[in-house]
Amino acid sequence: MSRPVFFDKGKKVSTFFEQLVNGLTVGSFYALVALGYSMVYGVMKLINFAHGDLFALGAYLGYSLLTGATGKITASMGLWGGIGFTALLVALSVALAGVLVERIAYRPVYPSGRLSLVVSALGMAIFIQNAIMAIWGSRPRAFPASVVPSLRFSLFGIPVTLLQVTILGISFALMLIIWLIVEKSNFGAAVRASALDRETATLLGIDVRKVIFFVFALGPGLGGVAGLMNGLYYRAISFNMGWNYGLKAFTATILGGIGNIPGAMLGGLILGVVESLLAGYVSGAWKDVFVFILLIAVLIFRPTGLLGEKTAEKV
Amino acid sequence: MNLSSSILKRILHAPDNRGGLGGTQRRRIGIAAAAFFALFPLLPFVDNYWIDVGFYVGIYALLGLSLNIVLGEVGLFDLGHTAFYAIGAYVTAILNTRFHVPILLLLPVSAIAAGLFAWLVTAPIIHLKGDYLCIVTIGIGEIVRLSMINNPLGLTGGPNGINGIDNPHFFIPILSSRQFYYLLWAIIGISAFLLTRLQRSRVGRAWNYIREDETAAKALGVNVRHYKLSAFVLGAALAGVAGNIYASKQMSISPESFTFMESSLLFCIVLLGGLGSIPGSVIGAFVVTVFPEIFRPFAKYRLMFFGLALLVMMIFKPAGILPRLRDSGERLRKALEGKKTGKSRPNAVPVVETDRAEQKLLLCIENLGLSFGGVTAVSGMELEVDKGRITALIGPNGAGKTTVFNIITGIYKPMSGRILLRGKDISSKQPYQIAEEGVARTFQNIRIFPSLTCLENVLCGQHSRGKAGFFASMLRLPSQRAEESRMLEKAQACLARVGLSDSADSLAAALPYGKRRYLEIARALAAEPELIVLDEPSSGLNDAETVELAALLKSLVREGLTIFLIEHDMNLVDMVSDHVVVMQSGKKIAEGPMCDMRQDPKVIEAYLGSDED
Repeated sequence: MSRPVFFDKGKKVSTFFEQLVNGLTVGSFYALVALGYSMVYGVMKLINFAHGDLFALGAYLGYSLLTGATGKITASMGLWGGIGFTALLVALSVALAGVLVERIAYRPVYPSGRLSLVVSALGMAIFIQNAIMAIWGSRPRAFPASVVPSLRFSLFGIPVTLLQVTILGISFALMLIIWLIVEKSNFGAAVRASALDRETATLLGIDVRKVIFFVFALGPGLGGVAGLMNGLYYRAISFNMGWNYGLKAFTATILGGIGNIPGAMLGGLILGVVESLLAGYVSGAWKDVFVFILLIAVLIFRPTGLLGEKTAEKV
Repeated sequence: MNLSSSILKRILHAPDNRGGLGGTQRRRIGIAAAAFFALFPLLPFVDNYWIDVGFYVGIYALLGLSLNIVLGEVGLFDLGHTAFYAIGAYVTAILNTRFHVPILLLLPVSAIAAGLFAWLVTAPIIHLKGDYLCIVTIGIGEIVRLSMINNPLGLTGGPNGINGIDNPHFFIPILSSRQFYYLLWAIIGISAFLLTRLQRSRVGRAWNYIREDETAAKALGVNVRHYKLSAFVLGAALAGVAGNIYASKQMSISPESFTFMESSLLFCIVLLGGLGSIPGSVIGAFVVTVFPEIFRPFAKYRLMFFGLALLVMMIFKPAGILPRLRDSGERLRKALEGKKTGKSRPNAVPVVETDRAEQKLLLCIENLGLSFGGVTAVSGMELEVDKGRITALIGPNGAGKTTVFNIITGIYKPMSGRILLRGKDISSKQPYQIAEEGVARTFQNIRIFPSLTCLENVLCGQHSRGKAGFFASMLRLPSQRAEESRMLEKAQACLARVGLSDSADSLAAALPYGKRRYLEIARALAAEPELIVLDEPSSGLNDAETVELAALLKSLVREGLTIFLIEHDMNLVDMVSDHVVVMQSGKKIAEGPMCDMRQDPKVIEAYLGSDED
């Protein structure tokens, strides 16, 4: 994975706060993707292995919207208009893709049990990944350099770039909206109820199909936007980037407590920061190894994650 | 789509053991397939390219067989199986290129290294359930792959891997595609043969019991941890063998061959072929390898099609191409016949028969207490169960009765108090040890093993009365044969005892509700227990069936068994019980014969509430 452009200046500027801001930025991608895993897992008890590839799809759609003929249109809307328009279009298309994935790959397989669902999820992941390759080619693509001007300034004494502020702003706004929907609205209550006990929720008059539609639109929508921002941040995107990001984001989901919405956000941010600090102070090459060891340690000592609640098995 | 798929599923998924291809048909197809694989490289139009494809089918078949042990037999979601394959390949590559150890000598070394690695990494996490275990295995897979890339101590050669691995030497050097093909398929043949023997043994059944219902398996004497770990170790060892052969055929290895994608493919192979099915794993490997080869002209679309094909398979044939057929009792017996069987020794039941006359007390519970996160389920509970009698535990819902049962059978550990069985404290023992001590149980919400035959269900009880392990089962030692035939006899007798002999070979899932209760009782009886613990045996039975059940329970006691039951049906309690204990809010509030309990004011209050409320 290529490193952020503004770090390639040949000088050693890896102060603690820079690593922290970089970690939060990457962590916000993980958090947005983790939300999708967590919501789907909550309602369906299914690891949506295709989710990481939907994230990659978001990045590629963003790439197409920001380059070539369409790039001229988005550029004509000005900086914020262009980014807002691109993000909205990416969110809507990936949300649609998410709903289609559920219809095609999960709904027909649901009655045959969880193992079959894992295989169809893997099948869907392979399909999307290779569809991206068939459309955009197997070589990595590069986002245009100056979508967001490469401005550096100091925020409370911490050096940041305009791009980082933009990404963090959009991510936190999205997370706040999701948190409000899930925790405060009636529909959010329906989602939480379906996650707790699908059968009882149905008996209480909750339309679980609607809830499933909602989580399969919202989760991938958020993931798509994360993919777009990831493209803006790292600039280089490749067709198989979804595996790695998906795996990391899923680690974040477990870290926070699977099925727990605030947990997914917290897990994503913590993972991003830990990873960034490990890369800065320990070893860039071994950071992913440490991340997975951390994951295993969490599962041994606190299997329900940081915010998950312990449940006793009924015998 | 939904409607058509559900209809198709009904056709393909009939709850009948004999559904689909029958045993004889399968054997014929199997012989034809074996002949095909044996003659394939000799066919005139088959060039080295296709022989190599056949070799890779073999690698995936071996890996499929190895994952099938973990995923298919035990039902553990392992999505990092490639790690073990990688360990085998790297151990071979490093020892061969640095110390020039011959490849075939490294075959067992790779197997042992991969098995040992599996034991080390899975021992701390083996207790995790379902998806959590799945995530950890993904993590292990990634840790191994990333470590190989990072070239620790300069051993693994980093992203480029290791080159210049020797060819194996088996009297003659094995060089050509054809020779590799035969070497590999010979190993697959031997592995499949040994694995089939394991499937038809106490070990293989224990794996399946865990897959079907872990709680029931451990309550009936299966050491769940041991069998899960052993499945991982054996599966990993076989994957290590595949790694060894792969490395020597390729002559070079790199981390690229051991990605998460490979692990996913292995997962798909096992499910495509059919969970727990040995021919299924081979078929699955065939599909996964040959499919992309056939679609090679479509180059960049072929994996896309492959992804879609996986989906379609799971929609229309979720049980796989060749689902595992369960063996009938006759088949199991036939497998034991033919050669001389060893001396049949009587079953070693650790029951102390000597002081039967003096010692009346069998089970004694002292000051038992357990609470769940501040909610007290049982506290200060005292209880005694006398030998050769039927003791009933009654009380309103939520009184803590099932919790007491779960503590007795070791599923929960008490926070205070002791449980004495024949005067011996068993409260710190594991469920399987308590079963070995002579306590067997049934469950409130029926826990049978649905996709096994009734006979196999009942054989679970006999698990704790046998001791044949991996080697005895794979080698079919005389002692193992003798034990196996004794187990079969006992299981059949227990099925007959509850009137289910006719259903011995049908799947437990096909039994009607009332008969499932009897199947559970037969399974508990097969454990040759001294104490049998029944959790609401009459629930869901009609009046006539309840009377029948009462007669069975009474006759079991006459034969020397001790019964302890939870029951809500007061008619049944009236009919059978010698002694009744009443529980409320985690405590004993009264005990005595049933007729006294009906008049006890505390009991009446517990059931009906007091006037002051």
